[in-house]
Amino acid sequence: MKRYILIHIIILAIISNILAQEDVSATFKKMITVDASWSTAVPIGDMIADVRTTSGRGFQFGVAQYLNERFSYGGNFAWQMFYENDFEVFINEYSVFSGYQRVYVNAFMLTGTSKYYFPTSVNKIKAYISLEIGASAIENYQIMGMYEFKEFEWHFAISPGLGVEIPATKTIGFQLYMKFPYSFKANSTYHYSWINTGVGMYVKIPN
Amino acid sequence: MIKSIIGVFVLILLGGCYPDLSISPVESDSVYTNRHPDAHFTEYKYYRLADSVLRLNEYGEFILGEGQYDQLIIDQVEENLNSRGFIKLVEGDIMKADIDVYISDLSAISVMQFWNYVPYWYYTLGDDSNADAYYPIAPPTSVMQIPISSIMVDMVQHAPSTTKEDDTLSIYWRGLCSGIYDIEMDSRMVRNINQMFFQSPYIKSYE
Repeated sequence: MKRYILIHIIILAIISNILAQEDVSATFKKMITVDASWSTAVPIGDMIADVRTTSGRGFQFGVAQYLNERFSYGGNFAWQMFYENDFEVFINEYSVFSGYQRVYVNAFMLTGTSKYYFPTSVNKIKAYISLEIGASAIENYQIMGMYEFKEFEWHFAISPGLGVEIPATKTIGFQLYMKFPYSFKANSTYHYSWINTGVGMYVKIPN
Repeated sequence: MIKSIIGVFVLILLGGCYPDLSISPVESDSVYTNRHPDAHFTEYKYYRLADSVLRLNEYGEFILGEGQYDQLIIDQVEENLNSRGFIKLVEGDIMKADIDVYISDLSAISVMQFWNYVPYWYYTLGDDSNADAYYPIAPPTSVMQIPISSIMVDMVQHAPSTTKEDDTLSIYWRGLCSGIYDIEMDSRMVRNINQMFFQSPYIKSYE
């Protein structure tokens, strides 16, 4: 975990350094951006032991304010739901247990976001890198046969990502992104992580 | 007004995307098998199979009676054992047996009671107290009864005629299948008993 915090500090330091060198445009107004997107996710890491299927059930909402042309900060709310129903066989040393297993993983993430927009753009399409830090609430609910298992924990979560914003008009545009949400182990749980891709729209509200 | 309609529409859409939490009787089936670490199945050849299914109540007491699927279960166990090279012994020849096979029916009706408020006794009595100790309990708001089918197949060390009541015999192998007692019971019984043997490939007699 220390390693990720250190990486975040380094990235923030780099961004701050870049910002310090920027000549902030006097015409640039601080704007607020509201976005909504549909997100898909592919589980990775320890999570594969429970669920392997790609999730198409998810959405994200965000709000951000530009500090200047390069940098914005804000908040993000995300929900992603993973589901798998398959016949499973669990083998112990002398025992075997088999049956249909259903796994429902509901993940809610509430994070603070910082984005850095690259200065170069093609056709006004702006690319950015982002880092989100916050908390995630994850419920892992499994049913096998007539037995069930339920676990709910809050996790410390980070989510580095990259994306592009494609303006359609002066205030409305589309966004594409890829993120790597990572929820750290809490109590008896494992580390939850997945690769998140999303497509959505944003609205810029001039301040 | 239009915003509310759109909001409700989005909620319905999201609700529709959520996977169904209800469980079908077929999906409730599970099969558990366990073998004794000291059992050497390739040293056994002849078995004795009880000609009826033993019925046990929740206190482990025998109950008289015959179930609708008893003969089907017995035939299916016999078929699987014969296909693994074991030979069934009949009356008069039973002293040659290496193993005895017993089939038990542990089916029960699971009763679940629900209150739509926290009953008084729930928070006034500890774990070591009986729920009907002191306080009158209000009738539950709803009661759910689930008939559960539970079939157990035991492969036991053959008991010679000199066996005393307090002698212990090893259970070489145990298979247990359970599920909600509902539709398609005959095909489910056959499939579950076959699954017991399928997930126990070590059950083979000597040639």
